[in-house]
Amino acid sequence: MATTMLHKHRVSVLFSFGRSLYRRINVSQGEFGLQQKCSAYSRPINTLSASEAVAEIKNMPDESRPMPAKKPISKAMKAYLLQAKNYDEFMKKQNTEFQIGRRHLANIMSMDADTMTQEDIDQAIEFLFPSGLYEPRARPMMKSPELIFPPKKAAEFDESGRPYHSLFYTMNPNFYGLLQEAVTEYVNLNKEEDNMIRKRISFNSDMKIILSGSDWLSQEKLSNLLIEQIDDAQYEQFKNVMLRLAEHPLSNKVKDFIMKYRYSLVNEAALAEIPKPSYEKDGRAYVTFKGARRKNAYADVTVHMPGTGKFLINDCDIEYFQDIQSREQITFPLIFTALLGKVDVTATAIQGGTTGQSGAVRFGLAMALRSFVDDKMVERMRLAGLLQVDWRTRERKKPGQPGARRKPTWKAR
Amino acid sequence: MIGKSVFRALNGKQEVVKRCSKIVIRASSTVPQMSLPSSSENSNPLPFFRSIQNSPSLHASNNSGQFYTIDPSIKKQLFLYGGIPKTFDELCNTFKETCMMIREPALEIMDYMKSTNFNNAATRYCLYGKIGTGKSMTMAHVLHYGFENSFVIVHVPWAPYWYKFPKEYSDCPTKEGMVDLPLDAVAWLIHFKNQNSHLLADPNLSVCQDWEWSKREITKKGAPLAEIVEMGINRVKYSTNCIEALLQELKQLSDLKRCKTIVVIDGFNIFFSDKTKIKTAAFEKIPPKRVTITSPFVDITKQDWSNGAVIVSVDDLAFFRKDQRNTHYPRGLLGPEGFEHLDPFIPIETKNYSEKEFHYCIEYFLERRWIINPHAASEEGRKELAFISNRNPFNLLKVTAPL
Amino acid sequence: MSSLTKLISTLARVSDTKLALLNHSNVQIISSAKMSQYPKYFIDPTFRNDELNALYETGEVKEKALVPCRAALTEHTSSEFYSSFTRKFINHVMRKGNKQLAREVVEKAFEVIKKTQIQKYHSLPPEKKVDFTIRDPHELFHQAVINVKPIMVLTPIKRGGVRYQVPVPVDDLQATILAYKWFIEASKDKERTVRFYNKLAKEIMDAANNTGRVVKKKLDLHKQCEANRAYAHYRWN
Repeated sequence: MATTMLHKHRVSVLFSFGRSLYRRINVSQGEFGLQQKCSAYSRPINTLSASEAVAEIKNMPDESRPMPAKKPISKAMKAYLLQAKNYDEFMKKQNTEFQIGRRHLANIMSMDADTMTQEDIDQAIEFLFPSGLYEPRARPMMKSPELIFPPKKAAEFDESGRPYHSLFYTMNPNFYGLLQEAVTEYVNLNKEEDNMIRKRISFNSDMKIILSGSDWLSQEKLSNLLIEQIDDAQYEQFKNVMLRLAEHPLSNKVKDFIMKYRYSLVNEAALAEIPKPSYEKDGRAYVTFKGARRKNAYADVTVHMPGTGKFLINDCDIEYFQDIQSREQITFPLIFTALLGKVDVTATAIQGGTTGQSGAVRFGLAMALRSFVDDKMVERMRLAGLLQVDWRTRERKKPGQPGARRKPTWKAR
Repeated sequence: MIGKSVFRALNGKQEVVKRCSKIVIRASSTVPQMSLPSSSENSNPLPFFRSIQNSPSLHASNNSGQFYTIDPSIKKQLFLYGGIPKTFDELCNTFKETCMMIREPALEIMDYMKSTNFNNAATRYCLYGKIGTGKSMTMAHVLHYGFENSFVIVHVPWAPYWYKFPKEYSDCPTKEGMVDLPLDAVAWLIHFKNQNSHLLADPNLSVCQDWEWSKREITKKGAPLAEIVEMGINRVKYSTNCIEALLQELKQLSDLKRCKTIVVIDGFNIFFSDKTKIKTAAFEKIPPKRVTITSPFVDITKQDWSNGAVIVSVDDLAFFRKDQRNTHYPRGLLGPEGFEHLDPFIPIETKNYSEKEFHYCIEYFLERRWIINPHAASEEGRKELAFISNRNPFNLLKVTAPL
Repeated sequence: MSSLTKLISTLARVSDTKLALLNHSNVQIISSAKMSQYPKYFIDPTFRNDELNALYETGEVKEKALVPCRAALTEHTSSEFYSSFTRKFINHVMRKGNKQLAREVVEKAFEVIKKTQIQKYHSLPPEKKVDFTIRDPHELFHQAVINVKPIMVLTPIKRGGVRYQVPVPVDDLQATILAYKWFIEASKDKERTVRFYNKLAKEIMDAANNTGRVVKKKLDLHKQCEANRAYAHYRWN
């Protein structure tokens, strides 16, 4: 069955045998739904509005399906449908207001309303309404209503009280529908695996999904995605099921499905640009890294290449650091990149103590050395922990305690 | 390569090789396997970092960086009561030999001394340098030279010991306001006697004037100098007076050309500092100038005598930790008073190892098995050691200790 | 060096394997620290060249490429003079965060070990020098810890109101930590004039030869475990 674009009130028809279709009814305009799976046993999906669909069902001359008795719609049902309708109308109104507001804003900021992106809007609002509040969510914002108002599920059952989703009575239909889908995928993958074994096609590691670099959506985010409250046990279950699916040797085929529920861990160091060296009058290349930090110390490090292995810190030689550990720290990046004796290093360090200053110089030196070294070595440096800022600082003392962790002497009585 | 440097060390003198070959055979068994190129044309079995010349008078700039061995008997005579730094001494006990590196500052001083006109006033040399660069070692080297050339040795191994860890102090009976260090004075006299035992028998060294210690004890003119020394050792009460007398006599005797004196004082700047740990009977802390033992040694470093040399070192470690001045230059360490006193002097700077000296030192350590870690013998290992220790001799020792 | 000593020396320089790491390639490589200023998904750094090369060979690098990595600690270097085994011991010796002093003391102990060996070596006649090997103090220390590590330990288990001393097997990491603790205790228990590092050096050398007080402690413990064999079932009730 072909996929269809969701229209305003789409109706799903129930299927049998647990092959469930789940959809998310989104009331907003322009949102497209998820891909639907239909089985051979299913009835066709109709893209009708709710009222039309209801009428059709009423008029359908199908003997297998007994005609429901003409009952009056209960008050509760009425209220429920009214609520859904009100929500629809509310969102529609908010949307038109938003669109009008966009146009006004474009006018004020003399931007083109059609090509204005959400980023532009955010910048404009920040400019027009500067806020000193720390919490980003408390600051003035202007976003499309779907992003502001929490999504609500549309009518989950028809007027006769018959739920649309087959798993409605689980109380978390979307969640259990997701699990069922995962299981479906798993069974399919098993079948494919059997086929491959029968045909003696060999497996390789490319067929399995690589999960590193991403992590499962948090419980909160998953709840928002499925518009249902997920508790701890359910979350664990979700992770177990998805992990089981991901461990299948052919899991790369369902990569899209799995990655929907994972977020990528941003790797800033890899994304950061490596600065190109500047050149002195005599042709020597040099790179300066400023603002290297460790604890309370700041350091600026300049590396000149080619050099003779000189080292200057605050106009003193390495004997500025009297303890051997500090000196070893400074030597670490140089040994690691095998540039000891080939570069000249000049550093200035302020504030902090011995460890702080030497740690800052080490970080600055490593960051500066990236420019004189190939990509593979930069990656090695990153894995060695040289290119990561050490955020650890002295823990503050808490009130009512003598120290950061130390508690007052415990007395028996 | 190895053959060339050994040839240079010998100054092309094959006779010296033959003469020294017997002494040197013992050392040949310890030639290391690791990184040394084999000695080629020469019959000399010593590795390139060792010098054949064990006599400081024969040391020249082509020996620079090489290690020479001090005979145990000479070491016992010269350094029994101090003179060789403690850490280095422990190392010598471990290696079962006392081997010192021949370095530029010592060669410079010895060079000057060889070409000095001893008719002029005694020249004063001031050794200065950062901590661990080899001031005390240079002094030990020069002391050995002086010993070989029959100088009378006036040697204070580490002057601050008297003021920081005095054995016993008491108010001076004769001079008011001054404090005596009787036992330290006796210890020094014993040290003097030990170092100059071969010279004190010389009939030339006789007292120039009468010295009256008390009504009954007089050392008459013409008596051997050793008598003053014995007097001081036996009569603790007069030990400081004996030192004063002794040093005055030495000045006069040197002037009369009956002997030549070399004065070697380590940590000279303590004499011009403000503090000591010594207290009067009234528990008042006093500066060094109120200690009786200070004045004879300050006096002998004056320029009012000839036929001698004065080698003095200034060190920040001489001061108490709180009073350290974080400088290694003579002007800063001596202060205005001390500088006035010592001026004019020849300043000699001791520096960290040069690349060649560092290389020789590492080779020596490898040969003596001080460095066991095989990485230290490699090119990268040496670079790393040089960087971390900044080629400072003392630091290098500390860094290589656990390796 | 004989092959056995070579092996021991490489072991002494190889870092401890992370016991928490799972081999499964799909499981997240997480750091073992629970309360940390870094987010949970940051991985531990690999700062030793041999370990990094191993990562490249096995292909584990591809997984780590997408994950941020913690900063290396101040005691970590890629220098060949670094021994993670010794560093762990230095951490145990450290008191009140005085890493400098702890390091000085342990390195001084190693110096003393080296000096005693060198002194012996130089006292030998030349023919005997060839046979005498001066062992690396790090290697000796490693050997000493191996000799001192207990296999079983007595734990108090309460059954029926009575506390029994039950022999219980102890895993490698715990055994190593016990060994460190015993060395430090033995080195502290001395006359006032004897320096800690001198005593520690002596204990290490004795233990490397399977003699001395720390090894005796281990053997006594094993004997007691043997004696309390009857209570072994109390482990599972």
